Amino acid sequence: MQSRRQFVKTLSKSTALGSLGLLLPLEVLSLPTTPTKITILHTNDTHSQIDPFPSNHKKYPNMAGISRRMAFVDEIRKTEKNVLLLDAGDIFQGTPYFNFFKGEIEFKSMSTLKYDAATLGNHDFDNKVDGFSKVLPHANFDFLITNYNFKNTSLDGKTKPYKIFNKGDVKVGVFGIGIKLEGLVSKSCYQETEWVSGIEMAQQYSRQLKQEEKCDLVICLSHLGYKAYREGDESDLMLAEKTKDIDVIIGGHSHTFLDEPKVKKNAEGKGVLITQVGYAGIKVGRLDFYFDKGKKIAYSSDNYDSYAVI
Amino acid sequence: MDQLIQPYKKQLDAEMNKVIASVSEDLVISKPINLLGNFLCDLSLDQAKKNGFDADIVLMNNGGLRASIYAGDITQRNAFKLMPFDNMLVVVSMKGEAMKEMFDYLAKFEEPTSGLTMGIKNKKPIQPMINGKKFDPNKVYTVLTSDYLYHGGDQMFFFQKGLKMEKTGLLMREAIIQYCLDKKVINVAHNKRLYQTK
Repeated sequence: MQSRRQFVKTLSKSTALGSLGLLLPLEVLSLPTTPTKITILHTNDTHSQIDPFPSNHKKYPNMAGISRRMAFVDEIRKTEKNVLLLDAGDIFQGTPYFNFFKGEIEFKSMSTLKYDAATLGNHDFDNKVDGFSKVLPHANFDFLITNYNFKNTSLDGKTKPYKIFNKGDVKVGVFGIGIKLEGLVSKSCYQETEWVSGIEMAQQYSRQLKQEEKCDLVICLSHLGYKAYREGDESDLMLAEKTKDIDVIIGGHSHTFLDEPKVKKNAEGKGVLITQVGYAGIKVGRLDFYFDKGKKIAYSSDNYDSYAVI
Repeated sequence: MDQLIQPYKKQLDAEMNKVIASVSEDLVISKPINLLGNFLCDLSLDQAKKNGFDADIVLMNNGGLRASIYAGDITQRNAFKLMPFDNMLVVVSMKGEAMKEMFDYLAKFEEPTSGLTMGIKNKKPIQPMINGKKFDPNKVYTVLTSDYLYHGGDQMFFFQKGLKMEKTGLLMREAIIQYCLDKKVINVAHNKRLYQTK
C-alpha cells in the first residue's frame, strides 16, 4: 500500500478522483486512517497478440506483446499490495499463434502473468467450445460467465458465474457476461451453448454480490461492447443504465479506446464506471479504488491513460 | 515469459517456413490477366468442389489479396501473408438484377473472377459470358465468394440481394494451403476474364 504521504501527493495532482459511494474526494483527504487501496488492471480483446506488433505496423509499430505486459504488471505489483488483473474476453484469434497452437500459449502466458479472472468473448469460440475446453487446463485462472449455459457442452462445470476476492479488508466481487452468440458465431462453433440476456443475469448476480455477499466493490467483466453494433444486441451503456449494484464495467468486443473511464448513471442514479482499453494488449487499463473503514468508495483514474505498452 | 514463448515462436517459424508447393512464375495482381486473382479464384472453386459445393462464378477482391507470391517455393507463410484474415468461402445464389449490378460493379472495379468472361467499355459491361454461355437474366446463378464480401465488404452490396447464402465452412487460407498441398506444382490459368474492349 502507498504511504499516506504518497497518497496525498497522488490526490493533490488529481483532478479525476471521483466518488461512487458517498465518500467525497475531500473526505478521503481528511480520513483519520489510511484507506485501503485496490488496484484493478485490465485488458480486453488481446487477440493472440503474443509478440509486439512488427516495426512496420502502420498504427502501432513495436507496441504491445505479452513480455512487455508482464514487465509492466510486475512493476505495479512491486508497489501495490492489492492488485487484481482481469480480462474481458476475446483472448483468441488474430495471429498465427492461435491458428497453430489453438490458444495454448495465450492461456499459459496469462497464467504466468497471474491473471485473476477472465470472461469469454465471441472469438473464444472460434475453435468450437471443444477447442476451448481442450486448452483450458493451461489456464490457472477462472473464467467467469453468468449468461452462457454450457450444460450440454464439454465446458459444463468448468466456468464459474462469479468469484469473490478478499483484498486487505475489502471484498471484491467479479462476474462475467457475454454477447449473444447467434448470428455472430457459427452454431458449429458455439455448439450447444445456450445464451440468455447478459443484462438480466447482471441484475441478478450484481444484487447477489452486493446485497447478499456484501461485496465492497462489484466488477462486471463484459464482452457486450461499449455500444451495440447489431439491432437487438446489449451494450455496456445499456448494462450500466439497467442495473443497480455494479461499480465497474470492464468492457470489450468493440475495441474501444476510452481516454478515461466513462461515468454513467445506473438505475438508481448512482455512478457506474465503464472502462475498455482497445485491443491486442496495446494498453493495460488501471483504476485505483480507495476504501475507508466504512467501506465507502472513491476512485482515481489518474493513471488510466498512461499505460501504453511499448 | 520469453522462455515460455521461445519454443512456440521457434515452432511457429518452422511451420510458417514449411514448403507447400512451388510455382514457376510470379503471381501478382495485374491487368488484363490477373495471375494472383486467377490463382485464388480457381483454387477456391477447386477446394469448394472438393468439399461438396459448386458454383457458376467466383468473385473475390484485389484488396483482400494482401501479398504477392513469387516464382519459387510457396511456404505456409505465403498463404498467411496472402490471406491473413479468417475469411470463409460462401456460395450465394443470385439472378437478374443482382447479377447485373455485379457486372456493373466489375466493369468499374475489375476484381478477380472465375467462370465469367466480360468485356468492358467506358466502365460498362459488354456481353457477360458465364462458362461460355450468354448471361440469362432469368436464370439463378451461384457465386462463390468470401463471407467478408457477402456482408457488403468493398461495397459489394449486390450480394445482399441474393436469394440465399450457404456457408462452406472452409476458410480461404485453408483452401489456399490445401490446394498447394494437393497440386505441389502450381500452374495458373492465363486466360483473360475481364478485359477492355473497343
